[in-house]
Amino acid sequence: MIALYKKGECRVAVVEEARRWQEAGMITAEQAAAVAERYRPELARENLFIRILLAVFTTVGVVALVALPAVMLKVEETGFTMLCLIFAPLCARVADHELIAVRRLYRCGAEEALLLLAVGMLGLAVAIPAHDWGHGAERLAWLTAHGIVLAGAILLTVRYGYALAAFGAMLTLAGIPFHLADILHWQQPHLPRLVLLLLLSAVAIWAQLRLVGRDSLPRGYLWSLETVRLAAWAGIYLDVNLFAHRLLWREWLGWTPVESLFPWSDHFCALLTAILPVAALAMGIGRRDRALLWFGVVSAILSILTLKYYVHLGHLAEELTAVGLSVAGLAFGLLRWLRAGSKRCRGAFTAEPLLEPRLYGLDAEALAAIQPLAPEARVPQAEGFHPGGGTFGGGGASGGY
Amino acid sequence: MQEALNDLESSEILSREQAALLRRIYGRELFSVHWELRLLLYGGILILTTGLSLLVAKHFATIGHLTLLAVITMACAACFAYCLRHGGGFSPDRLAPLDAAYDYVLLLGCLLLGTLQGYLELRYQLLAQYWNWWLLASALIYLLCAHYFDNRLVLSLALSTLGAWLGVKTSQLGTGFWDGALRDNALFFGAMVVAAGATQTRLGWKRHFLPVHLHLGVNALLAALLAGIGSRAAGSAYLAGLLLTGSGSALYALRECSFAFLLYAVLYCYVGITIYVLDHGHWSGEGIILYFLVSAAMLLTTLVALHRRFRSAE
Repeated sequence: MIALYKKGECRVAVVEEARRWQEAGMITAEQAAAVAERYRPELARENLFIRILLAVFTTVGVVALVALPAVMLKVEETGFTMLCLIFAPLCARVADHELIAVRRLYRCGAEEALLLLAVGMLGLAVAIPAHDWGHGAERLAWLTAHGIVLAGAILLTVRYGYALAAFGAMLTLAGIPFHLADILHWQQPHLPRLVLLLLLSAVAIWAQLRLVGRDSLPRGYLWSLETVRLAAWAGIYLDVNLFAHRLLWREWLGWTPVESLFPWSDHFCALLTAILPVAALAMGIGRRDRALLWFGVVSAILSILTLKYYVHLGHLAEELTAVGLSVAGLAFGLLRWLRAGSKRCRGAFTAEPLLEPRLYGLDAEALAAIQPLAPEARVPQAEGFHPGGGTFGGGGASGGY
Repeated sequence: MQEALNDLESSEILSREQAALLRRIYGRELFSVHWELRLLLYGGILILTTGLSLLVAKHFATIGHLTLLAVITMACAACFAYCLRHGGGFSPDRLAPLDAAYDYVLLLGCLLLGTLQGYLELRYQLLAQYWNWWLLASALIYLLCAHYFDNRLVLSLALSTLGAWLGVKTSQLGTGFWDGALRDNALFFGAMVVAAGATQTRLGWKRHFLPVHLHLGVNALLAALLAGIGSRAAGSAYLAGLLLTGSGSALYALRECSFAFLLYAVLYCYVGITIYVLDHGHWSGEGIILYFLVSAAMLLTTLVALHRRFRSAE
């Protein structure tokens, strides 16, 4: 990661965390202001919504800027490649030098959009002219473009710690087995899915191993690694669970699915659909890993809803009612159990809201749009939060707490 | 983070207790599963109500109508009884939330009420072709619950149900009137939701409900106005309305530093202006590209100016 970000991110993280402490009522507004003053970041940051607008209109502007000479000069494939080759380094230069090094922008939307556009244009520069070179060459060129986009996304992640680029890299990586299958004419229709499963498993293990030393990682890398790990888990889950689509399509469209790669594929996928959420939940609880816990909860609910396509008990209404009752009852029971513990904790776990969830830069205002999770503003407590001590008046706590 | 906590403690910005608590949180010695359990409760209740609805549809002929009716009514009544017993009663101000379970028991009660109404209509056809009035009744009951039990989750359910009632009512008009009437109803709905939120805030009644009203109302208003720009007869009027509403939304965003409303205003107005401009002129390919280039440059300049203003304010 560039030195400017590596150094500046620590200060940004402390100031942002201080806001969360203030929202949770752990420190006063004066204390939060003192933290912000002491850790005043050198990097220029932007509100999430203005960041989105800056990214959108930078993209519109750059696309128009490239398209204007292309239309005026009536360029064709080679000309378009030339334009992309001129504008891609230009975009990267403006973002890296003018916006990041000189103006010290940190995740402001414009520089992120420019860098992503630079990578996209490099990929297009290789793929577009291949249109006239024949079928085989065209396929090879698109595969090269695929590789360039993957390499570019990895480069952006490593150099700037962009979690969005890490997600883009994972999407591109997930597309490679299908692209290879198209080019190499793999005869087995389900082979790409198997390759994808192995590829994503390897990436998930790698990310998990890197995250062991998470406390020493810069925040950008930490978020990128968490993105990579979650994307890999989600990819594996979708890969095995979407296998149910074969059965879904058969039911809805009267479509006859292609035979499985192995006779035990269906059962294996069904088993993994059930095991993955349980494994994520177990790892999340064991390692106190919030990202895995969220993945576990969401995938468990999805598994319950899609169970019908694997296990044909023939009583969907009864199954859903029973499962709904069990899930709600389990959550309700866990809430009660945790609250009944000593100091409202069981081991390290508590059901009290300590800090509002931080979803990679989404602030409380953005979360308010997700109504079930809308955070309640809490009254700052000058003396801080004392578990079990009786001074916490925050959201979710009863008066006696 | 541990280094920063040490530094903040030694510089006496944080007290010893505060630093110790934060160290425990960041060291994962104290780990909150509050949001995960909320998510699990929410998912469980959605699955349960889906299952119950399917159960009613599947078995209402075999179980016996009265049995089903009694079970759903009792479950619904139990939920509301729990909330009435544990809730703090009505207050025009924000009530301290009891616990996550309380919120979701109320949500379950409201959803069961919807199932009960659906069942009554399916079985007895009490309102026959006027069945959409059930939606209005649900919306009003949900509104009442949201205000009495001080629950934003049920408020958003109430407002969405109200919107659904207007939509269903319009769809029954027939194909000839559908488009325009739906737009008008959306305009009316958006304006009503925003006005209700503003009035409540002015009266000092449930001020914390304002964001829910504004997010839903402003989006409904802007979307309805945007949808009208394509119409030949009143396109200009809709554009003027869109710009006016967008300006209001942007001003509110800047005044309250609530930039989601700036995002809504800029995106909806930009799309609206673009549709109008491209629709009402004879543009060459170069002209269209030039339009996008100039408009993007203008907006970027404005956003950078905004960035400077609010960075200095920060």
